[in-house]
Amino acid sequence: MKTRKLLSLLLFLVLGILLVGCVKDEPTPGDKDKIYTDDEIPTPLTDEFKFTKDYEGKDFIEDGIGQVTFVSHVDGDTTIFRTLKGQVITVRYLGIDTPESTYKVEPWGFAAAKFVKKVMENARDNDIPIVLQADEVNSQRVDSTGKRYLAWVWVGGRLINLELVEQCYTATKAAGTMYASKMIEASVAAEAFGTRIWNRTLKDPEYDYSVVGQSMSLQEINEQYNTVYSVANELDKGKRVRIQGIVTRKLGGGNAYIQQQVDGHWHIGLTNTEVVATDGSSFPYIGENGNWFVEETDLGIQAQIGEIGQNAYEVYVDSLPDGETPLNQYVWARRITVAEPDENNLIPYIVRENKWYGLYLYGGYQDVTNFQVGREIYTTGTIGYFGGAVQVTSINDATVQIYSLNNEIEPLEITADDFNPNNRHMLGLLVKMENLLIVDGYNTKKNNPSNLGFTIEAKVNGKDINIRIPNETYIYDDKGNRVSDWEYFEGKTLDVVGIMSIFDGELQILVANQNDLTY
Amino acid sequence: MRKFLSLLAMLIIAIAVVGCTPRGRRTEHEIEDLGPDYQTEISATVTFWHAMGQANQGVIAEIITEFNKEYPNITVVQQSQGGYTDLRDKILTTLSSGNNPTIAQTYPDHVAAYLQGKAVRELDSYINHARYGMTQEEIDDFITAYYEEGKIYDTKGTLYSLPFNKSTEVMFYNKTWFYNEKVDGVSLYEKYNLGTVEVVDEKPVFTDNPNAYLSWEDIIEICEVYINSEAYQALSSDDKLKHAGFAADSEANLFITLTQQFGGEYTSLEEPRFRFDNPQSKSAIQWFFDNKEAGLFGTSTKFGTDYSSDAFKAGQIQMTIGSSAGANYNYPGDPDSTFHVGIVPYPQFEDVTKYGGVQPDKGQVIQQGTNVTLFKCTDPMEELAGWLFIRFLTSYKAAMIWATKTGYFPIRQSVRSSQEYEDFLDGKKLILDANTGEWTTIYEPSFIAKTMKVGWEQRNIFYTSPAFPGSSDCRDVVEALVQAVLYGGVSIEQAYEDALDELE
Repeated sequence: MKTRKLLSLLLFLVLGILLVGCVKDEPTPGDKDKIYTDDEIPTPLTDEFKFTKDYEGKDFIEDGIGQVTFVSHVDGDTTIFRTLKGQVITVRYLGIDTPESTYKVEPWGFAAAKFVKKVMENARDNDIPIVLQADEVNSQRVDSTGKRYLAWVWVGGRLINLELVEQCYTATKAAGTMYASKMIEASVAAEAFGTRIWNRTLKDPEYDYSVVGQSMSLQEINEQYNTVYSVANELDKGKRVRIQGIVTRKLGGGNAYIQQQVDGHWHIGLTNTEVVATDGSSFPYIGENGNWFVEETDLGIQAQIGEIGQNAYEVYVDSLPDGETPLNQYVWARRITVAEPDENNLIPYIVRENKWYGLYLYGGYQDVTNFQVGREIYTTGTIGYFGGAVQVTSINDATVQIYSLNNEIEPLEITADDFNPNNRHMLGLLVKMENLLIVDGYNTKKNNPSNLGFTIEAKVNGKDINIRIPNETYIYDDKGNRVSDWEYFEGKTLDVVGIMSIFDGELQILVANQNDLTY
Repeated sequence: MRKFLSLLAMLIIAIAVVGCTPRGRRTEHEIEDLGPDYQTEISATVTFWHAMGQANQGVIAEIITEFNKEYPNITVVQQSQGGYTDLRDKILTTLSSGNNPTIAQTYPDHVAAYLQGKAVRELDSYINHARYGMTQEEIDDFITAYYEEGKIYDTKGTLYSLPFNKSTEVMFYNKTWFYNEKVDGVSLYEKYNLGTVEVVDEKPVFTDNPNAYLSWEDIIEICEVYINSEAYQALSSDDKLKHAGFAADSEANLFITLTQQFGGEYTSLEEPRFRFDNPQSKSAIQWFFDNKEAGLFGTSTKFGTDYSSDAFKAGQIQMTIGSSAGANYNYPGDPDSTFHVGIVPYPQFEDVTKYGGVQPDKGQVIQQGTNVTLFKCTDPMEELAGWLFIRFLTSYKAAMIWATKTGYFPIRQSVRSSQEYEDFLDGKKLILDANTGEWTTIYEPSFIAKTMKVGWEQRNIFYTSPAFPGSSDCRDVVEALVQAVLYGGVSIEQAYEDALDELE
């Protein structure tokens, strides 16, 4: 009896060893077909791994460890924090590389970003301490761009870098760091659990897997996605679209601004050319889609004009300005402004309207050879948002195809009145302003030494006009040295060609080429 | 009874060990013979672990699609494991549990580590197999240096890997600066025979010399022009510390290549394996240090990053050495908005004896990149399927896809010499212009294609370092050695001593 008891005990013991010993090597796999919530995924390593370092009163920049506060969210492995001493820093999480959700979109990128955002907002709202820890093995403090601090990010004593691995949002890039073995252990367990990035058949419900993308005009992109509401809510971020337009400017290696002219680019203006106009009251109702045929009659060139929702009336024009006669064409006239001859005998005329829409295409660090000014290109990409405006990302040399060559684009001449953040339909357009006296400015390198961009400011009719020289645009002085200080332009009067763009709510004309500045 | 209990305990512990360790991944077995219809008969799942980003994963997916047209019942699951070292560490971790992949992307020192665990399948029996192997012509078609790298693990030359993604280092220079900077009225660009210039619409139009080359002696002269230039002299003393004429990206590569160029030895498969403590290597580091002290040279550490490309793009350096595969990091963008970049081969010495070196028979430039390796599998079908995928991955078809869609060199002579690849290097595009309705041919090589063209010209002077357990540690140690000497105030003698101590 005693022996049997002993045997049972021994057997129990060894089975226990067996189970315990094998559990780590053979984690329970998850359900391959299930879309898990973050709460449903086991994170035993993160749960067990406790933060024990002393960080009270320490500053992350100076001491390599310190409490910070959450400032803003970027994506699954990058967050902006404020240190104890008030410095705002961008932090790249050590040891991981989550799928992208900003300059391009990858499966599970949004989910990883949302996970981190939720953790950070929860910490902010509930006063949960966030502590950054520099690596104690690898002495490198910033990443390869030189702009982002590297850190282990502890929130309420939980190592978020490790949790992101256990949540199956990322593989590890932790070799040579203080937590390398823990991270690899988590990666092995996560892969065994087998969801999200480790499940090749499970589709990320937030990722657009379509190849072709929805064909959209730049007008549609602008009107649907460049509104304040769409930008604030990042509407349809990650949606795949197919777009077309003429390259107006290239920025860096893989980025470009494109423009597309939409139908209805003829409109009625005012001229003092002799015409005969009649009251429109007896003419047909125009309806929602004004569409008139312009023809030459015995009386001259005839067109029906009027406003949407009004009765039309006819004009007879003896001649049309600029030789741009839309004869024998249908004219889409949604934006017609009706005008009868006034006291100065100014009368309506038909003229080509600069009815363009613009868009920024972001491809990042690469050489997109098909981006050449004047080329009409088409490409697929994904809707993204940056700095307060829509852009299309996930662009590369293979996606960008040439439709036509040698197209000419003239910049749209604008006034200070046009320089208004409410003119969102003008974002992305190539514009021109003249006689701008530079009175102020600032250098980006003050906060970010490796960024040689700067902003110069002119005042026109009491309004500030910001002109941005980004890091990607090189301005050389007459000795051939690169200019990186706004004061170089102080007191100078400029003619500027650039892209109407917006960044952090500030409207600016972004200069993409030295030749676009005349002074 | 005690004897019985003891026996039982042993038995159960044995069961425990067997139960908890590998599912027999390291089984040696004969290759299955499936007969002539093996392509459709074989059914298995192959897991392929690598360390590639999303873009290259897309290219692999395309190769898998092509593979499945020939092998419809083999499922290939590719999985990026993050960084290269993480990939190695994860494989080493999983080798004990049997959860390792079927095949993996490997550096030679990784293979050496896996061989310690007897986990790697030799490929000779597969590559020479009458049914599943390659013809001699196919084997000979591999770029010799790449193929030979798979046989460096023992003195018998057993094949443990086949080439996959290969790159080298080249030098990038700021062509606009070379054009603007004149000596006796002649631009540096023309003085050093880098090409000719025609001014059109007040802009320089460059025609590069296809044989352009700068020696280390040239580079020193050019750096001296830079630090005597008005622009450099106008810098504050603090800013001067952040500028140099030349900088190298990888300090480990710099150490190894300079050691080789000075006629020294770095490592060996024979004991003693760590051989860099020699006068030639020390002279090389002394030479670089002297030029760094003179303000002419630097490395990435000088700029606080792993790479010197940002400093290059910011105009803090006029020349930099970097990986051909990472060429785009040295591309600032549209030359009209930024500056023109030229690419030349890795510099060599005209006469290294002047600096204490021994002139080697030929130039020396690193060949780097990874291979693919097959692991031993319990299931002979999985192993065979893994081999068949490797065979396909290294075939002409897949090698062409890989070489034209990534920044890596072709691994086969036939790919390199094909018209298709030549067109890729030339950036040939056939465009139907919607404005004219006519077809137009445009030659518009990408920056990476231009870089590959230059890098390829170095193929006859490629060197590779022997791989063995600890060889990657050696790279880390010599990188620290360079940093200690250049920026840490440590004497060369001391730094070498510390490095050897560290390795021991």
